[in-house]
Order: sequence, then structure tokens, then C-alpha cells
Amino acid sequence: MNRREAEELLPWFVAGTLSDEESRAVQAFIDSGAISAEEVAELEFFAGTVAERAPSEPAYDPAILERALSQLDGITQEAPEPPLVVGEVGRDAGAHGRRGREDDRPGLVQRLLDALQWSSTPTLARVVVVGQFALLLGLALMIGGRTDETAGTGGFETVAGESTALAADFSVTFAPGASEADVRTLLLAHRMSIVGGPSALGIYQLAAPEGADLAALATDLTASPLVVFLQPVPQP
Amino acid sequence: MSTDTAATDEQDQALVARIAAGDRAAFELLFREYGERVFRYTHRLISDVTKAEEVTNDVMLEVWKTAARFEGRSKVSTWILGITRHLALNAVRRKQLDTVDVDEAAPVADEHDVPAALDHDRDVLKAALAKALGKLSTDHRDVIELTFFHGLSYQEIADVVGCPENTVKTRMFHARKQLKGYLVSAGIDPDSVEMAS
Repeated sequence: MNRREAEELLPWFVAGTLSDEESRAVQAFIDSGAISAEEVAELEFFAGTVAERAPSEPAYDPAILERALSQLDGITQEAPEPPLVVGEVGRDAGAHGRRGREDDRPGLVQRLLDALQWSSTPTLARVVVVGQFALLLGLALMIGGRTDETAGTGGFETVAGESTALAADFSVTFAPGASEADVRTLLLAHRMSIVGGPSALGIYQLAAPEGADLAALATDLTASPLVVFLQPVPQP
Repeated sequence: MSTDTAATDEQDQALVARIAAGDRAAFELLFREYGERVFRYTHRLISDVTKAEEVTNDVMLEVWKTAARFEGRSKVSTWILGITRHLALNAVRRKQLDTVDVDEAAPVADEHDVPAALDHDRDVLKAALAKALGKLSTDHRDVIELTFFHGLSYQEIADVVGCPENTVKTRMFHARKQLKGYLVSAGIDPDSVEMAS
């Protein structure tokens, strides 16, 4: 663990929710003076303030419980998620040595056939349906094969080359007067790319390299005089 | 996870299992244990007492309804706080309650709210901090509340909020930075105040 990582974990060190190993690592940085005692004290004070109930906060009304209890009868409890049984063929399942309640339930294939009323469909109609399905499958395979020939470009090339469709990690505004060369140097140093912008307000969307430590990147970028605003883009 | 926390979670999981079987007494015990936490978390997210009470009621009824589907892959507290966050944010969206993002709100000191901004003592700082917290975006405040009020680890917060662990750390970093910025703009230098109790 480096100092930056230790600083990131400091709030949870103060809250006492780190693992023993993480706590020892953070404590070592405090003992060595790499993380100041003032910063720890500040966080402890902050933690205490958050944990305290502010005078302006309303009292909890235990009567909420009574209200909830009176509503329980009107609520149907959900059953546990049923396990997904794949490959089960309903009535035939018992013949394969399966026992218990699941043997009595039709399998996925059987339920699908039942839903389609397959057994009551005339033979000729069955042949037509199967034939149409085979035709569609063949067409899909042909179209798929042609797409492969163009190697995912959709049959054309763009000047920018293959699209990477990177998702933005940060919204950033650069300092007025920052030169293109300065910005390029900063982004290359962090292997970042501009994937959007500028907006009317001069905000750019930046993408970090795969697997990058976003918190560390945010710290570095914010520390640069070229960056006057930075906000992480919420990740899906 | 400490031994105490693990033991508490085991007890909670046993309660949830009983609730799944329709045990009302177990539901009442779990409600007594979590009701206030759910209410406080909700109120701090949406700042509306009536709505917070409604959400608390809805959260616990959801626990009753879906207890059988709880598979024990997370702590019970994490599961309940996850439901709370989801329902509280839905309530915010439905009612369009005010949650001001500090990025959008000018961090201007309010002389009525921080009356003794020049007296850099602990009480003033506490009052200013509490006010600054209310100015944070929901995402940033959430991480702070879950860390310091609910005592969740950053991994558990990632579960509750539904985001990567690194995002939790980044949000904490920015939340702290914004809080400091707010205090400074309110005429308070947090570094100049004696924090130690």
C-alpha cells in the first residue's frame, strides 16, 4: 500500500471498518508521519459530528412499528427464488431417476410446448412452422457471416479508425489559456483520452485507461494547475 | 468483520429466516433493531420527516415481503440499507424534494446559519460542518453517512450504493474536499481549529 492509498482509506481507518491488514498499513503511515496526526484528528472530529444526532434532527417515532405491524396481514410474502432447472423434460424426468416435488413439475421445454399447444397442432402446420424457423435461422447465419467479413466495421472505414466507444470517467474544465500542447502532455502522462466535449461551458469528458485507479487520477488531475474543475462521471 | 459484528449478523440472518416463515415476532425484533437507523438514513437523504417515516414503513414492509429471497450473500444491515437507499431516492424523484448539489450551489456563507463564523471554536465548526453536509450531493453525503453514521466498510458501501469500490473512495475524497471548501468560504479555516477532544 502506498501513501495515497493509505490516505484514501483514512476515513474507514477512523471509522474502524478496515481489515486488520489495512489498518496496520495505514497506522504505519501515521506513525511514520507520512500522514499527519492533524488529518487524523480532523477526520475523527468530522466522524463524531456525523455520528451525533444534530439538535435540528427530528426524533424517531416508535409508533411507525405499530403502523407496519397492522399492515402485515395485507402483504403476501414472496416465495424463495426457484432454482432454474435446465434440461428437464417434464414428465420424462422421473424416468431418469429424479425424485421429489420437482419431478411433478413440467420442465422449461415442456412448458414452452404446452404454451404453444404443440401437441394439438396439426402435423402439416408443425412442418410449416419448423420450416419457417429453419429458413430464418439460415438467413441469420448468412447475415452473420457477411458481417464477419467486414471485421466489425459495418462495411466502411472511418478516418479515426476503429471506434473504441470509451466511457467517460471525468468531466473536466481546463484553465483559461491552457494550450493544446499542455493539455496533450497532461493527458498523455496519465494515458487519458478526451471522449466528449467541449460543451458550451467548456467541459470535456475524459476516459481513463482500463483498470486505472480513478481516485488517484482524480487527485493528480486536480493537483494540476491546468484543471480548474473535475467531477467524476457516475459509473453504471 | 469483527467478531461482534459477525455475531450480530448471524442473529439478524436468523431473524430474517424466521420472518420469511411469517414470524411476526421476529419482524418486530428486526424493526426495533433497524427502524431508527432506516429513519435517520432516510431523513438525512431527503430532509422530510413525513416522507422519512413513510419510507421507513415501506422499507420494513419490503423486508417482510422479500425475506425469503434474501440469500445471505451480504450482511442483513447492508441489504436493509440498500433497500432504504433505493426507496428513499425513489421518494426524492417522485416528490422532487430538494437535494442541492454543492457543485451547482454557490458555497456562500450564510451569516444567520453560522453566526459566529469568526469564532473558530469547535461548536461553530460543528454547526458549519452539519450545514455543509446538507449541501453535498446525495452521492457524496451518502458515502459519508454510511461510513461514519452506519459504520459500513467501503466494500459494504459499494454494495449498498451499487458502484465500484474505487468510486466510493473517489466520492469520499471529493466530499471531504467540498466540505473543506465550504468551510473556508464560510470564513472558517478547519486547520486552525483544535480538533482533538
